[in-house]
Amino acid sequence: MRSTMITRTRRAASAGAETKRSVRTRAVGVGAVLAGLALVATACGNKAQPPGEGGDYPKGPVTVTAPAEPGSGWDTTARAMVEALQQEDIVSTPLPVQNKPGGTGCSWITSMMQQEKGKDDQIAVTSLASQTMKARGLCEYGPEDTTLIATLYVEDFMVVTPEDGDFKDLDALVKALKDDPQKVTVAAAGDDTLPFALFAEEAGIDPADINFVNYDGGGEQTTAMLNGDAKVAIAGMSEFRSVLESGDIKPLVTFAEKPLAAPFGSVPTAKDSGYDVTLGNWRGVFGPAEMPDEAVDFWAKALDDMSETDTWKETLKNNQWAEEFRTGDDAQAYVDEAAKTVEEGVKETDLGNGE
Amino acid sequence: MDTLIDLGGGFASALEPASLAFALLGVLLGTVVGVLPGIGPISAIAILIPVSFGMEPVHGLILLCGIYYGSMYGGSITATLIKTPGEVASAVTAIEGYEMARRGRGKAALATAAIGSFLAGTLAIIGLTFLSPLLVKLANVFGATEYFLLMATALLLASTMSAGSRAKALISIFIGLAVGLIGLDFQTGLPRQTFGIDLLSDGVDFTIFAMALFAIPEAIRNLALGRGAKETIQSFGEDKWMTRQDWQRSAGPWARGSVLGFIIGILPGVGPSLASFMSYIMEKRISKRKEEFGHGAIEGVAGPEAANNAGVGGAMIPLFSLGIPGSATTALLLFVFTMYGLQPGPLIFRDETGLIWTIIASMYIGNIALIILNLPLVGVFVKLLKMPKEILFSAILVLVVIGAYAIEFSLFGLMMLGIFGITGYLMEKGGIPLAPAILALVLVPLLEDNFRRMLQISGGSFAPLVTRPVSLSIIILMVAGIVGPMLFRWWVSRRQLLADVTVS
Amino acid sequence: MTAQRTDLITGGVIAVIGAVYYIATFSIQETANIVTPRTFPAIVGIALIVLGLFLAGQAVYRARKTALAEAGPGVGDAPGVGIGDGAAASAGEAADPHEPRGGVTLEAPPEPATRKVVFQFALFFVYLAILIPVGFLLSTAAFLMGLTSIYAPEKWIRNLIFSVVFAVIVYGAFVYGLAVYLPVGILG
Repeated sequence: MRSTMITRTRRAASAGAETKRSVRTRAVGVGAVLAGLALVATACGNKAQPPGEGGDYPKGPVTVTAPAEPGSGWDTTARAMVEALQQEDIVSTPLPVQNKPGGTGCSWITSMMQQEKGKDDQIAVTSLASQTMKARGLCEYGPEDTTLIATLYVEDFMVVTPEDGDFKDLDALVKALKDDPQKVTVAAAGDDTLPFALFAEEAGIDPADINFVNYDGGGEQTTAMLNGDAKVAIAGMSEFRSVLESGDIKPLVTFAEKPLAAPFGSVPTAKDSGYDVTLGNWRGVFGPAEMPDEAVDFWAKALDDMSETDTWKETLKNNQWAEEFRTGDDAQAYVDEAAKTVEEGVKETDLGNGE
Repeated sequence: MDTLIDLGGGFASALEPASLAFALLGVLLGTVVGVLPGIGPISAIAILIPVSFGMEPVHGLILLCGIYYGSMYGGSITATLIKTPGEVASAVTAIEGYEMARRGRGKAALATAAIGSFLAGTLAIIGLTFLSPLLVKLANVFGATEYFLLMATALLLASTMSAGSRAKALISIFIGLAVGLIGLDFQTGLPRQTFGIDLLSDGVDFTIFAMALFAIPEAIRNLALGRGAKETIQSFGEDKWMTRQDWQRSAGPWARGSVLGFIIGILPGVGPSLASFMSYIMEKRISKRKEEFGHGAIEGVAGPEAANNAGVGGAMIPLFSLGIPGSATTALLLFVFTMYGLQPGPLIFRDETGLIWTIIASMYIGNIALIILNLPLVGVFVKLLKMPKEILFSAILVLVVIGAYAIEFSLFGLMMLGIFGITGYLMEKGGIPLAPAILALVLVPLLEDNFRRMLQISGGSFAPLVTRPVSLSIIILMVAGIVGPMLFRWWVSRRQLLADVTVS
Repeated sequence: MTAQRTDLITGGVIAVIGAVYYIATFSIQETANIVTPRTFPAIVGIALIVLGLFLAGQAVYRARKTALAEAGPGVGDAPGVGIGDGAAASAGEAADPHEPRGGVTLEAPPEPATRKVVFQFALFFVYLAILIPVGFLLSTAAFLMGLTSIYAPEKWIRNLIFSVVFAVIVYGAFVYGLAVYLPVGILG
């Protein structure tokens, strides 16, 4: 899997390339360790309780899978969620977090659709990245095909540039892009390129001309901007939190639906600036295909309770995640909508295979 | 001088009995866990993160720092004694360390590793304390071009790592590159060289590769030899502590390794593993006893172990000052910081003065705890080698298998272990050195990604290689330091060869 | 086997591997990037072919030269002959002397018979194959018992105790100490 493109879901905890590999290496170790825990947990869980029977779900431990390395966005989400669920005593059974990196989450989504089918002792974290994988034809399943339980929050995309860089504001960027897109190197992690490509298209620039350079998350992107390799960068905003706060880099535009919370309230949204692009990296929770209703309801309720707690609100605030809590049909509609945007975006911007 | 005052405050809280206890506990846990194959620093920290959440942030972080240091050293123990590196950084130690252990010098090897780690770790933290603002600028002159050149240089140097044919060393490097390229392409996410096997799309795990190449051929060969053969371990009587000569020979490598490791560690993404390989190569190149390398040269343990630990300190600089993690483990530490509601970055020194200096102070203490705990234990660890050969090597095989299982949890992972074990055996049989392949496997993503970035940024032009001052300097150094001598040697041997031919 | 012969075979094998690897690169999807995902693997494949051929060619060249030298009177031992089958001794390459001046010198480890090595690897693979279905405890104890008994059959009591105790201790340490669950297999 390498950390390929999981990058978009990763937050500040992205690492360099060597790191990439060793994160992977070690991560798999951790994943494995935790997976071990999960295996036994699973085995016991199943024996103790055939799915769909009995009224007091859950009887055994429920494994929470982050289909990426420790420290990645999915991993952070999973751990923060479990932390909140247990601190606030919403779920009392053990919730081991396991890391199952592979194909930008594709491996695990596929397992959930096939091997884990019908089980009730597994939930996992997913996001927009998995939809892009499906839209690009790199994965058979997307989150919209699974038993979607809830969406939790959105991390808004942001385009940033060095404080003393070439671009004063969004107009300057658009002008430079029109003059010579080759010169405006855009640091992007995996398919974070999508919102930027959509934006370019809106601005009348052929997305194929945009000079995307691939980096492994916000840390590398920041370094690339500071050493001059990249002129601008796009990623989920938490990736740039510390450097934004210190003033080394500044935001140019966000693709959020409404203006951001303080201290970024003054950052223009693309929509308000006349470019109709709204896309946020949502994160959500899903269960195995054909998960028993009882389990789905239990988790929808538990997560709903969690979203009201102070622990969770604090986590959202610490990470600058914007709440986007939905369950049931509401969540499904939201995710379907996102899937459509991604699918169209991939088609229009030729992200399919880079050609 | 503010720094000193702050640091003093940090020490005051880190020296509280509870903090000290957590530092020691962390080092102990880390060492124990690090000794087990397949469980390195990251896994150790990840497993123990939940434990630390219940604690005060200060104690939790001190505990995790201790675990980190402990597990790094634990990995060196297995690398030295049973040639089973548990992580990238200790792969180098498996070369000379194991050769030393075979010659009954395991104690000296472990001691020089522990002392080197301690000294380098401490020096790096001092560097971190006082030089952070200055050094962080270094990261900003290193773009994709420079990274690519650095990786290329490292690989070129790696071909000089082992004795014997340059062509064979190059073959080893390309085998490592070939294996490293298996899996999904980072830039496009497309599968490569998976030969139609989906399970290969996750690539080949480094630890499995290194364990398979180093440990399995050694164990199998010894088991296959049967009893008639000479003992290959401990054939030289009582294991002795470091001698005066060992101290003299270690001092230089410790110092050089510390500096080198610290500087390489600062570069985000490169990390301690490259530092230890580079230190090994450097020690070999400047050594007056080149011929001892590969036969248990103490410099080959002292330098890399120091570089490795100094690299850890170096990696903390971009983490603390920019919020950029320089290695896998620091990425995980960053996650822990965030969970405590801390955001490492330039502002953490302003907003969280007390905590950050306590962490830095606890790193000093973790280092001291490491050496206090481990030096007396060196003798105990070395006793393991006294076990009958068949028991020792069959136990190693089992441990390696568990390690591989704990990484992949699948038959596929186990089979990869077996197949690379055979590969390693055949490579040795054909005289192809193993270490360059392992380094290449680690470096290939950095090499390729940065090469592709460089050309992407320049629009396909190779000009940045010579137009950027830093990259031009690297090229000049590379030509002067490596290619030049190579050509010269080739020319000399050519002359001799011609002379020989003429004579006969 | 002489060093030249080893090199010839090694070089040939490497070249074949390189060729297979290169052919496999044709199934990589090409992209419009400047450096495509195929570029590096293709370079690596070609490099392996070239290096393998070089090694084989060099071996042939040296063997010829040795033959010439042996034929010619009055010339001492040619390099690369009679160094034996040392494990990693890339004989004939002679960049480093085999006898270090300082430190302790070990004899090159003797090479075990190929038959025995194959047998050891076979045992190892059997262990890998049965580990998951049979379970860690049973397969490990059996594997250890097998290995140690081949080596020292008369110490079977010690072997048995070691095999069982080691398997149990390791199992306990990983499962209860680290929550790394090893396969339980048929005992489960």
